[in-house]
Amino acid sequence: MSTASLADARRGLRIHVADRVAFALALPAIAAAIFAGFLSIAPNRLADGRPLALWQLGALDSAIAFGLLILLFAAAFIRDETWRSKLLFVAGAGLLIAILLTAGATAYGHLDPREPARRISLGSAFWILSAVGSLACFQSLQRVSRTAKILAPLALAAAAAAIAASGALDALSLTREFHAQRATFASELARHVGLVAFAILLACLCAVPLTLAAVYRENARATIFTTLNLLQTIPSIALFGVLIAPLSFLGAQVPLANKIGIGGIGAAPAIIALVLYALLPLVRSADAGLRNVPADVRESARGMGMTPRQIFWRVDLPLALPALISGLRVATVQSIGLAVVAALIGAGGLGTFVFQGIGEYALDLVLVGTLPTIALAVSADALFQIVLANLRCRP
Amino acid sequence: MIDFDAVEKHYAGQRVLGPLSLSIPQGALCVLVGPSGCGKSTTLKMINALIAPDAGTIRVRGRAVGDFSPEELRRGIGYVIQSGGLFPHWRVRDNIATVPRLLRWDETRIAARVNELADIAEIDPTLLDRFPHQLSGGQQQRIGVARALAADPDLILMDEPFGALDPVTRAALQQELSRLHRDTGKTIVLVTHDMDEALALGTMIVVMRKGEIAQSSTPADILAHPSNDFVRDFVGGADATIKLLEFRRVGDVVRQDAETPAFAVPENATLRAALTKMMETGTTILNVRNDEGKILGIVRIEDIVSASKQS
Repeated sequence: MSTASLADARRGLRIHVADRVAFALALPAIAAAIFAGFLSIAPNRLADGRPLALWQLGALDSAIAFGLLILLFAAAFIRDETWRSKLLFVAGAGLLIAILLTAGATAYGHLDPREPARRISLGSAFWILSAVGSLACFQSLQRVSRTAKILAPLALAAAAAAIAASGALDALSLTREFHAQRATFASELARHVGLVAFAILLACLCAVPLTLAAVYRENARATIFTTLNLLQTIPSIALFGVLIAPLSFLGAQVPLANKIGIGGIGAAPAIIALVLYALLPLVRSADAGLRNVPADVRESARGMGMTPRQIFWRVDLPLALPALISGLRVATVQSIGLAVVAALIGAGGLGTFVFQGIGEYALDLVLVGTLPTIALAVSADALFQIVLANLRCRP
Repeated sequence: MIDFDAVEKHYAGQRVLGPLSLSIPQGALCVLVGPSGCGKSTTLKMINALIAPDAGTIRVRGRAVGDFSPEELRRGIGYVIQSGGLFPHWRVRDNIATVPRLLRWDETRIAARVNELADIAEIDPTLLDRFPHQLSGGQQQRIGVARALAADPDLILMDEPFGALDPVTRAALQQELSRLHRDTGKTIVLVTHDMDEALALGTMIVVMRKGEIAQSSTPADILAHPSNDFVRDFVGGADATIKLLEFRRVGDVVRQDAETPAFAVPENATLRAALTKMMETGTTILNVRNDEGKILGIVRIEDIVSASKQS
């Protein structure tokens, strides 16, 4: 046999992984489905649970879930891009819906009137599979139109919300914790969003003079970035703590400060800390955006007879806008996460549930705080991405 | 139009340019040419106050540059730079309208002017609604020129306008610039490091070296009588003789003769073209004809050789 035909034969035999991401997603998902607990059943809120793997559940449920996992694995080998994307989306979205329904229905099956304190929690396999399902969906949406990129995740989120609203998940411990907190949930969510929005607004106002100084005053630049970098390295809890002393002093000494709610604990130190953390991403990206305006473009603007003010508003600012928006995006997503910690110093927000849950050793209560935080961060990120994409196609 | 009077530029206490005295008459296409770092771009940018001189005065249209507000001065002078310097976030139409907008023309007048300029600069009207990054380098530079012409300034400054273009596009744009200069009679000051470009375009050439003027004269004079070795080398050494033939026409050396050559050249052909024709046809004598095809006389290779020695 000649070398050429040998190579041909080898090529024919070799199995070709067309989509490495799908391949890399499918393997841990299958492992998790076999070995990790999908649900965990505990006699009460505090006791350790007994794990229940996916294959130990109903025959139909596990058949569907494993079927979708095999589909996902198979999708990695399809060479045709359109078909691969379609299959990937069906497997990913199907997996997300299937595990939600399975978890909800199984939880109902394990309710026991003789054991009213029994808790059925979601196990690690559930979380791994939902992560894999979401990532598979995102991977499948890489090359579709922008409208589809926005609509498909929205449709999935709507489907999940509908399942939750229908009561299908009511037997799960997570849902029960959520129902227990229902009275305060909406107000804490609003408070969280409010904290972040106010902090970002303030940070933007502070970032303007800092950016202008960094860009147009060479000697101020080093000082500004050294300070902002230093601030970023302070752990958030430490920064919140450090702010308590001066602010409580201010609140005690200045009646006006006290009247508008400035004190050692509460929203004031939280907002100040969030502002300090948001400044670095805002100023750094605005600085980069303004400095990256091509020198020849600025020179021709000057040569045409634009005043420095006109150059700033008509040339520098519009050209730096994408960078400004990406800085805003990073700052917002970061603040949504950091605001959780603000609950420690009495600022409220979704962190309230997290720290209450940690205090009570109720992990499902922690999730009542973290899951909406993640959802907020992901939505804010997506929103800014959409704005950026629209900016880029119309420069 | 432009007068430099003992202008100097200093850097870190050292004089890097000048003292420079130079007069550019109205209607000239003056080319500042020289090697990198000779100060030609600095000289150009002092005309529209992008760079301020450290000594001496520059007058534009008889008024000292320092007497204008820089913006007022610049809005009255067209400015073109190497890469075009187009605003990437504005459509071609808005790029061309930059200076009229700064001068607060009304929008109908601006729209009419943009269309007129598209015609003058031979810009395909469908390009007007595109963004600069969607255009080729040559198209971008054409728009850069149209933008400089927008408010109809009588003076245009060009800083290496064709430096980044391929040779074919460059030659085409050079020809159009010559035509534009002939048709409008505007004063143009152009910076280049390419002597051939200077010879092809300039009615006046200023050769610069180390911040000083090495020679300032007409292209033919610089070719025929370089003032020193630097200029001689820079214009192309021995090649200068051949280049000089570009500036003489066959009509200038035509004479009557009994011979009847087999081939002919038009009377407005350059001597260089005539020489090329002789080499192509393997002859040393050509007929000279006018536009109607009438034979005016002949040109011999000896006439071309002696013409190159005169001037």
